[in-house]
Amino acid sequence: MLKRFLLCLFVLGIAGYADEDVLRPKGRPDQPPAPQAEGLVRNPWALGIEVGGSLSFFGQDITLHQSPDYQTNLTSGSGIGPMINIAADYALTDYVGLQARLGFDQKHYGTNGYYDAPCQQPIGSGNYVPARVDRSGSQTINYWTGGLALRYRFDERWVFIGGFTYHSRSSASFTTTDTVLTAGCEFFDDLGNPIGQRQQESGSNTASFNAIRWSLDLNIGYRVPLSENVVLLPRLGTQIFLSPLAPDDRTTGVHPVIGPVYSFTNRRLHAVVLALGLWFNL
Amino acid sequence: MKPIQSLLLGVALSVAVFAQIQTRTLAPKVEIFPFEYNSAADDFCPAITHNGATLYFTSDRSGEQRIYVCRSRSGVLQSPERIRTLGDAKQMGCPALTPDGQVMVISAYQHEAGSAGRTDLYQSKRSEGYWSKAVPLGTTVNSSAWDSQASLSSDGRTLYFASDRPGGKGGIDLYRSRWLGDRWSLPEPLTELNTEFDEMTPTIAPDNKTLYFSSNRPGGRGGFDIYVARLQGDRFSQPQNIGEPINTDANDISYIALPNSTTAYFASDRSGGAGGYDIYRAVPNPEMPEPVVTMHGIVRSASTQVPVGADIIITDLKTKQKVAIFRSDDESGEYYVTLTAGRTYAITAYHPDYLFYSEQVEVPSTERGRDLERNIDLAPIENDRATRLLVFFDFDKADLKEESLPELDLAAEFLKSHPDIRVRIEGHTDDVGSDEYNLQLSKRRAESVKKYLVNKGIEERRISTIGYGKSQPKIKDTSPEARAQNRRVEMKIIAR
Repeated sequence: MLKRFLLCLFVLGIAGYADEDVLRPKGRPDQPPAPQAEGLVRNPWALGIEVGGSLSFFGQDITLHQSPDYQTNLTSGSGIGPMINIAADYALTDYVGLQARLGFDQKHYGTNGYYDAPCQQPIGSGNYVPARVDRSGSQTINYWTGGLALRYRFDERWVFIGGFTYHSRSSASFTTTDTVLTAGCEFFDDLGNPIGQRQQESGSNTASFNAIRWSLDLNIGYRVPLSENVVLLPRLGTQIFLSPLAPDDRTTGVHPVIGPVYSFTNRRLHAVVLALGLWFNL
Repeated sequence: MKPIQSLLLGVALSVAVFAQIQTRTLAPKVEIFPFEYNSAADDFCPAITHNGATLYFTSDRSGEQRIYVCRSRSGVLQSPERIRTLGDAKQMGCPALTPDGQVMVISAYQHEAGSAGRTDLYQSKRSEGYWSKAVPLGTTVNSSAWDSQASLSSDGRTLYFASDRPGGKGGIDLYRSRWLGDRWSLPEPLTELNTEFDEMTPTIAPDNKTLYFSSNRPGGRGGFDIYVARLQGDRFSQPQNIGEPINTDANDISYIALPNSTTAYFASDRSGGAGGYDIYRAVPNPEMPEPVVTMHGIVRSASTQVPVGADIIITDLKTKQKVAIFRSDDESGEYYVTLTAGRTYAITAYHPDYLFYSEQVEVPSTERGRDLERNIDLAPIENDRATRLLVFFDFDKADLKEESLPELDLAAEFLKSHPDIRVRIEGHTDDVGSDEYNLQLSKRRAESVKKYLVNKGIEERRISTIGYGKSQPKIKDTSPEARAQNRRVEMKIIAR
């Protein structure tokens, strides 16, 4: 698949490289290598720095084992995280180049939902009623990244950048906030003391996420020359991850009264990337 | 055979041979002269302002295709200078000029201004003696394919160019786009000229009827040959190979004809040149376009005689169509326009710092092939300066005719843009009729003009009127021409 993709891009690049001119669409038939335009003799290397962010879209399948169906609202979420890259570009032709990137990419997403928890009313009566609890959570996963991409300039200004990026998880953290919405019900600590209607938990859950992920990155960029050797290149693209965000989870979601209720599978995260690059022709 | 029969046969043969010789000598021999500034690189796409004073061409003598210009001094073309103000591009060339040389459509590949695709068409305007940075002609005309080698009709309203876009007959084809008043129409392929082979370098002659182009279709002398076709209605006639010695077994392209001239220019990569494509001059042009009327002159300040770059509109008074919109040169004040004979035109020139100028010009059919000179003196905006309003009335009436309205709209715009000015509308008649009658008629006509301007939003108190009748003739003569000049309405600045 990767070979076919790269081959396709390379063929496109070569096809567009016919050195046309105002007299002939395909250039002079016996044309020797065209002399470079004044001031356009270029080193094939360019270095760049990119800063931006990604809008992550998280999703998971929740399989219900029995009622009630709370937490189905947690099947999806989204959020924005920063990214930064240093990059190098090697021009193979006027149109096609190879790019390498090293960087940091944070994925962040939040989820919202609710569930019903058993609430003893009045306390000590042994009479339990369902209490509605609002749950909001967020996850932050930090990756070190490295990628290779092919750059194809299909217009004077527009550029397509496509390639693959290796994501190595460095850390992850979570925050969960539960708020009891039913009057008269509240949370208790481990000693049985009431602690109010709001409870927040946070911590590291690095191991909950897969350590290595690959993404297919497809971007459209727009070149804005700032000077002869400096180009501003904003790009908008997608990160399609080829492996799950986290392993399946069939152990959580155990209701204290009615036992296992649901399991989480197909835990996926893809992203839309917007980055602003500053490139320096060497 | 009897002696008398032999003699008759001999005489008949002699007459036939002589007749053939006569026929051949009747067609003048076309002579080919190389352009003195050809280089070892490609030199092609010659383009000449219609007054012949400036020759533009394309050359890759610097390693990239660029546009060069040779200016005429005392009738001699000077050394070429590269035009450097059009912006940067990987390749740039094949300029098409409006007759006045104030607008240029060029072709460029990877121009810094961006484009719709590969090589595209761009436009540049001449201002203050320089060509502006080229801007794309628009996605209506340009495609993602190769679009190049434009040619503009003398009225600037029809654009011909070559393109290898899909939808043609194959290879490079010829296309035409028309100016719709605010944009170019979608290009239409010239199906009557295109073939499955390549057609390119179209140039429309000053008569707007004769189209020259090059093609490598079978049946030519070899390579690209130059063909000519003439517009008949909306379609072109069957193209004709322009023949030797212009066409050779090499590539012959980029043929242009000068108005009312026997000279044509073209490019060829034939042997014996300086190298690559070279530019040649062919005399006489074996396929002359129809003769046209050209008009030229200088726009200048009436008070200082300093040249003025003014916007000029030529309107056909019969069809009410604006047949040419152009600008006199900012530096020299020169203007140049091609007109069709047998029509009457209104010339209007305006500049924000001057009182606008209007004049009616009749171009009889007998003027075809002639060059008319009309200098335009723009009056500065100051008290007692007057301009003639090109307004029309039926005989013996004071009702404005429809063809007067564009001129009065211009007058209204002028008054709106100069709110501190008060004017007097002055009516004049010729010497036919009694003094009293003419006085009243000129007064009523001046009032009609005022009424129209007031309806256009000009405050009534800013406009006064007077009728002079026949008391102030412009020309003291009784000829029809003099009387036409004397029947007039003028707008005079009386306070500012």
